[in-house]
Amino acid sequence: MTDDVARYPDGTRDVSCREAARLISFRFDRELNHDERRELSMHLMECLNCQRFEQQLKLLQQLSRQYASGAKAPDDAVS
Amino acid sequence: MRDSTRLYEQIDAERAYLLRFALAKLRDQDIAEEVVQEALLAALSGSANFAGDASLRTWLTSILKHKIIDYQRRVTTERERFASAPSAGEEADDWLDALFDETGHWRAEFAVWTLPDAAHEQRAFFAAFERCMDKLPTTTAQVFFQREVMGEDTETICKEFDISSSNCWVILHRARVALRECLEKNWFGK
Repeated sequence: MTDDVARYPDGTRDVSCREAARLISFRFDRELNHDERRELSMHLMECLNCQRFEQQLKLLQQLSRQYASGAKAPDDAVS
Repeated sequence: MRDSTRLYEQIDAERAYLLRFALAKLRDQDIAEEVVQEALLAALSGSANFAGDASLRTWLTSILKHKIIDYQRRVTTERERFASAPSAGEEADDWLDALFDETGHWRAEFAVWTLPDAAHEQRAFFAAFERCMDKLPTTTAQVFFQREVMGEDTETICKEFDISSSNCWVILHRARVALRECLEKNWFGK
């Protein structure tokens, strides 16, 4: 390799968790481009921590939406 | 009537949420309180219209949205620009750096999170969630609230805060990571 960037045999950049985490988060707000998608999927295949990070962000989003609709069951709101 | 008293109490119990919602849109505590007050009064006088098929919070939020739009229409000139917007994406990254080792890998090991089940557990969770949101920098909290709680698209948020899309994505990323950390410490990891 002539550059300092680690790559998979197919040429895809081997990104760190820090970069992968950004891509995981960005995917909630925009479409990733082709390279980003490949980099992230290669990383996720071998990184349990980032898989869990993604699962946690999905849950965070789900709970945030629940928060907007009123989390309490109606009968439970007033004791 | 007992039922209407109960509804009034339930409406009043939503005040804190509505205030947070209004604050995310209006970014001024006094104005937000005033608009929430107007919305609550409108809700109380129109409580007969609450069909009960939507949640109370959803119904109140729709009233509040109208009140916010009314307010924004009234104040069409010299709308305060958001002073901290240009630097919003450039806050110090020290806390974020600390989460990764020198090779850029997470220092901590993450567990799978599960949804809070029972109603009382949900209430406690959302109290923790609010405390964690309160710890975020103001812009970050407001952008996150608009995006993930209110479900607005990033384009709308960027325009409203007068920030670039990339800045907006970075702010949202920081918000999610910071909330993840806070919720792990104060809820999921307990």
